[in-house]
Amino acid sequence: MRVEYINPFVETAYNILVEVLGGDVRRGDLYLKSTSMPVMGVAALVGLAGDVEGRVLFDMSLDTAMKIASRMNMEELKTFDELAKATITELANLITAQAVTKLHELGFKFDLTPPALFTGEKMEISDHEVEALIVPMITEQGKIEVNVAIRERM
Amino acid sequence: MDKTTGQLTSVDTIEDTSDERKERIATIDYKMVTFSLAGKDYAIDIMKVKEIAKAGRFTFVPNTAGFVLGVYNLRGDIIPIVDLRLFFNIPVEERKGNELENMIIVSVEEQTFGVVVDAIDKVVGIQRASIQPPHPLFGDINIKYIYGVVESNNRLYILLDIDRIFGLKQHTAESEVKPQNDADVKAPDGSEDDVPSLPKNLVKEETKKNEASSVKEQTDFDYNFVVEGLAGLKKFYVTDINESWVKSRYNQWTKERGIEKTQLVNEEDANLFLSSFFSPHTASFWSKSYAESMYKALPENSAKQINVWNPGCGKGYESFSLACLLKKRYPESRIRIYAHDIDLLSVSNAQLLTVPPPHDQDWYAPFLTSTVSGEKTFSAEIKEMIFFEYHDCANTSAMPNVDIIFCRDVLSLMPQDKQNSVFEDFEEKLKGNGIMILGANEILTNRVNWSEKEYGSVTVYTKQ
Repeated sequence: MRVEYINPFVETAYNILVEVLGGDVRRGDLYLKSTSMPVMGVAALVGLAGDVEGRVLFDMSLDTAMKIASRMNMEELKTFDELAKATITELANLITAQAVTKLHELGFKFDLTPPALFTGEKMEISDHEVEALIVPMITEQGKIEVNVAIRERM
Repeated sequence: MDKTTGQLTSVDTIEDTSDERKERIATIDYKMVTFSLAGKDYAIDIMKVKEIAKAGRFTFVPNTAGFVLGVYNLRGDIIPIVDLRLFFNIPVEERKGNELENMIIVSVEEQTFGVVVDAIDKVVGIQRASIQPPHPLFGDINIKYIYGVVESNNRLYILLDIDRIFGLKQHTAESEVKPQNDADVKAPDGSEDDVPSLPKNLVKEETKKNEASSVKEQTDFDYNFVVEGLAGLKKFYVTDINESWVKSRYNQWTKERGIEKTQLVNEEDANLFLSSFFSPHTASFWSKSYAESMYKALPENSAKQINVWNPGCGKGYESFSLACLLKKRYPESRIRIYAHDIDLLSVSNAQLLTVPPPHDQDWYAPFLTSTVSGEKTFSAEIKEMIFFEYHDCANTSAMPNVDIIFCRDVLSLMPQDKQNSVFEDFEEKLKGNGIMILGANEILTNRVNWSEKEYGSVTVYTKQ
């Protein structure tokens, strides 16, 4: 992971979460993870394509997702329904889009795919030959792991 | 001991009259802490005792004498803990779980020790003159360690000579305690002459032999301990790549420190041990002479694109130095350096590296520009050559094939299995005509398919 890519994601994840959730948001220590990794319950995935290729994954537990969706909609949501799903998808879109905008300003050109949302238990994601940067964000609603895997196009 | 012997006669004469005895008790001039070992009463001069404590769960220290229980953190001071029962070969009750031990903290010549005993009794005041010399028949404890015998309240206390147990004579004390029974059977003090069965020379030779073999065992043991220490303290793993250096360094280390002090107690020791391991100009700018010898090691290469892999780039000194050098060596080629490190902070700041004087006047000069604030930094052309990445080499990487692998002192900091997988990666990614440069004290042994060539101080490896 090129160092230039790291900061835009860390910064935007923090800024957006503070903006939409309010309250106390902290960033955990960054670390690297190799290919396959378990997913906590709800994962929103945004693909990147252009000068670089890769994807950004937002991973959280169902409980956290419900609380975040409730907070963002300003109402207590009871089930993880269409509205809740759309909310989490939107959050993923917000963060990735702003990060990509920042990277554009630095001269890296690439587009993003519409977010896809995965829910379920005991899921695992494995992408071939990519090392992922994990940015843990701790919010009052629970932990969100921003999982960024980008590589140069060869 | 002589002193007390001298007083013996006077004590005997006084003892007759009860009046004088009372007077003697009244003038207490010696206090001792009494305790028991295997049901018998012992005592230590109170002036040697710092305090009394109960403690347990000592931290075991490998490679120490059997009677050392370990170390203990006494309010921030790390003190060695000795079990007197083990020291004197007195049977010890089996320890149960986390039970606390009775401990007397003694200080001998500014050094503090914890002494574990069965039970601590009380402080007894006596008159110095009433201490009687030990009788050679005291069997339980080697007579050398007994200062004298004292009677008080109808109890006999054996007064231990703590200076002798822990003091300067510790070394001989240890060696005599170790071969357990032999030492005890022998009569005290210089009694070797009394052993009639073996001629003296023979005895000496035999002990020498034993010593020699035990010294060798001891060295192996100590060496392994150093190896473990390096892994534990500095994450430096001794593998075939650096073993020869570690061994020769260990020999030098024993000479420097003495055979007794080879253990790496803390990070400082480990740093000192490794101080001569790291390649020239690690984490600093390269000197002109080092840059020149490196320059000579670079082979002819007319490829349009030259890829370089620089794992463990740290703060970027190495990567930038390499970039300048390659620019000079291959001016026609497009050069790309993939600089990786697992230290996020270092690698993030690497891009912003500035060149302070006097280096900015050195061989780096043609590759520098001035910033607004007047500091020298690498030109855009050089900066564009390097991709700094936050990457763990043990994970899969998406690297193109490379012409040069520049990996100084990185493999040594990986455990064997990780090292193997990284090395496989190296073999796979290095082009047929590519070169690999390792740390100054790292050698590829045991690896087939690699040939080496030396250019001055730089060793270059190529695939066969």
